[in-house]
Amino acid sequence: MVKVHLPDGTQTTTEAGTIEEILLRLNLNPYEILITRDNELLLADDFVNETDEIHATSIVHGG
Amino acid sequence: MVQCDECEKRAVYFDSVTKVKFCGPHFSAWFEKGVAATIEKYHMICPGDKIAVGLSGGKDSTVLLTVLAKLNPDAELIPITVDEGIANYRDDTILAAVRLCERLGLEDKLISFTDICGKTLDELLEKSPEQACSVCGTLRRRALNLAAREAGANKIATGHCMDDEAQSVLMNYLRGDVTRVMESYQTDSDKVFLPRIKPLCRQTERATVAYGLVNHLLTDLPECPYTKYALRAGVRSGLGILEYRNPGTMHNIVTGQEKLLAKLGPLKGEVTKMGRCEVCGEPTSHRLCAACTLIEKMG
Ligand code: SF4
Ligand SMILES: [Zn+2]
Ligand SMILES: [Zn+2]
Repeated sequence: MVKVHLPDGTQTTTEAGTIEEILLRLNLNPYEILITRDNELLLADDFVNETDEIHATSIVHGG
Repeated sequence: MVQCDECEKRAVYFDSVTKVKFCGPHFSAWFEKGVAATIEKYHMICPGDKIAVGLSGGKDSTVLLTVLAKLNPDAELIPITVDEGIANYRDDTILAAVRLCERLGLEDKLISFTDICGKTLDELLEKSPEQACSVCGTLRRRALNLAAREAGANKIATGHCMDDEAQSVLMNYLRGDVTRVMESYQTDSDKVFLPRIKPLCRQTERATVAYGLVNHLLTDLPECPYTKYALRAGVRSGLGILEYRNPGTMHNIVTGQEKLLAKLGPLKGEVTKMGRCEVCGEPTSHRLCAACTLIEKMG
C-alpha cells in the first residue's frame, strides 16, 4: 500500500495510482494539495507505486 | 517520466492555465519572472525604497521574502514578524521566520500583540474564539504599521497571492458591500497610511507553495488552532473546487474586477476625510481607529 502523510500530520494508506486518483480517493481537492516523494514535487498524472511513501502539503492557510 | 517543456529534466510543475510543464529550475525562473512582471506593471518598488516585509514564517511570506531578496538586491528589506500570542502554533513559525532571515542575512524585527495592547490573542479571545480572525487581522495590521513606521520603512509588502485577492473580491460581492468593492483599488488612504504592495498578487497559491517546496524553503509547521473560524473558509474551499474544475477561475475573477474598476474610473462624490484616532493617533475617518475600537470593546 502507498503510505500518505497528510497535511494535518496524520498518516493513511491507499492503493497505487496517479496522484490525482489518490487525492480524489482521499476526498482531497487536487488543486489545494501538492505531493512530494523524496522531497521532489510530483505531477497530478505521475504514478505512485505500492511501496512508495508520499507527503501531502496543503496550499491553504488561515486568515 | 513527464519532461519539462524547456529542457530534458523531469517536470515537477504543470501550469493548468497555460498548459506548460516545468522542471524545478525552469519553474522557479518562470515564477520569479512573473513576480518581477507584477512589480513592474504596478510600479510597486522604486529605487531607494525601504520595504517592510510582513513575515509570518508561513508559506506565502517565506516565498515573498525569498523572491524579493533575489529580485531586488538593491532594495532595503526589513522583515517584520508579528507575534499574535497563539499557544502551540506561533513559536514554531516565528522560529522558521528567524531562521529564514539568518539565511538571507537580514535582521527580523519582532512585535507582539502584548506590545500593542497588553494582551495575547489567546487572552483577548477567551470569551469569543469565533472572532479570532477578524481580531487577529485588525491588530496584526496595526502591529505591522507601527513596526514598519518605527523601522523607517516607506512601504509594506505582504504575501497575499491571487487566491487571497479572488476570495476578497468574491466576499465583498457576497456581502453586497459595493463600497468595499470599489474602494479596494481606489483609495487615497495611501497618503496617510504606509502604502501596501502585494508582489505575489498575480501568482496562485498553488504556484507559490510549489516554489517554496521546489526550493526547499518550507518546513512542516502546525496549523493555527483558530483556522476553523476563518471567515473565508467556505469561500476558499468553494473557489478551490471551481479552480480545479475550471483552471483560471481565480485569474478571471481578479482581472475581471480590475477591468470593471478601470471602466468605472475614479470614485466620484465626496472623499471621506481622514482624521486621527483619539487614542493612538493612527489615521482614521472615525473617532477611534479600528484597532482601538476593538481593544476598547474587548476590554
Ligand atoms: S487563522 Fe485567523 S487567528 Fe489564526 S493566524 Fe490566521 S488570521 Fe490569525
Ligand atoms: Zn527545464
Ligand atoms: Zn487608535
